[in-house]
Amino acid sequence: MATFPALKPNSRNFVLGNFPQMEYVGTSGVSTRFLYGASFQVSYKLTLAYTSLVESDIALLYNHYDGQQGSLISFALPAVIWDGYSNIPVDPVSYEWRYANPLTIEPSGVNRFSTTVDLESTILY
Amino acid sequence: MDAFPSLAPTTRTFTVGDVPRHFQSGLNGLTVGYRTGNRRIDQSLQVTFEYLTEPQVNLIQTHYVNAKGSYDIFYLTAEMWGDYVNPPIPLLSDYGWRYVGPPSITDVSFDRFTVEVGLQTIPINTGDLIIDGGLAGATPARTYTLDAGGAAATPARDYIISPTGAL
Repeated sequence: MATFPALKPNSRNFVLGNFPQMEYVGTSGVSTRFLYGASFQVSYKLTLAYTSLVESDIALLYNHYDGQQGSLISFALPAVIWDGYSNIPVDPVSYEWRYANPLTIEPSGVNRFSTTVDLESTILY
Repeated sequence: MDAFPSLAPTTRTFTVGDVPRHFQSGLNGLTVGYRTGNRRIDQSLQVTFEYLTEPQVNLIQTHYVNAKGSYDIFYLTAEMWGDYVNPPIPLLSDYGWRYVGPPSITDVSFDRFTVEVGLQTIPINTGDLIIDGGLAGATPARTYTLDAGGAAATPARDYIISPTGAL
């Protein structure tokens, strides 16, 4: 498990995970929900945007993506990813992350590149 | 069931919902509508809280966790409706609210966050019928109890369901 590169993102969007549940909606429109677990939230989502990275930094991200075999292998995030938070909102002891989508790399100036990283949480047992 | 945190949203979009209905169109092109329920559904509220501090974000996050995500229902506070004199859905009514999806938290500047929250109403029954509610003298007091015995039981029953036949 290779920790995600310690690159501070330029913007960050974090979506909380939901609790596993099923919902059934009757013809009256009234729904009933069944909770299947209250110990863990599933599918936290984290979107990190990097702008104007040099090629060597882009290579760090690309090589990490390659090393994790795309979205297959989960990994930990370094503290710099959560810069600005006094308490990391997702417990690193209980959760790791994996790529939710492939990296998209675009040019943003001479020898500079931008990319967006979509991550989804996985639960550690 | 804790009420939603008392935070005033920066933007608020209220969608009034609709009655549950089903339309059936005949070959001649005429359409007949059937109402399938008597409670309005899909009333939704999309609110944005801009430039929140981390403790304020934590209030929403903790409430979301305590509500088990989109599972449990809760009521809103007056701050949510801002300048409404009469909120379109009263704070305590026969509609509860639940999260449509997880709140979205975006960094906007150092130590400041914007949180987007989607909520939806759930029709609920606010009657005082409690299944397995103990005796009428229980705390809080029960007005209706199932398997309540006869009308002469102690404490006295106001309403009896399935009263063992007409006498």
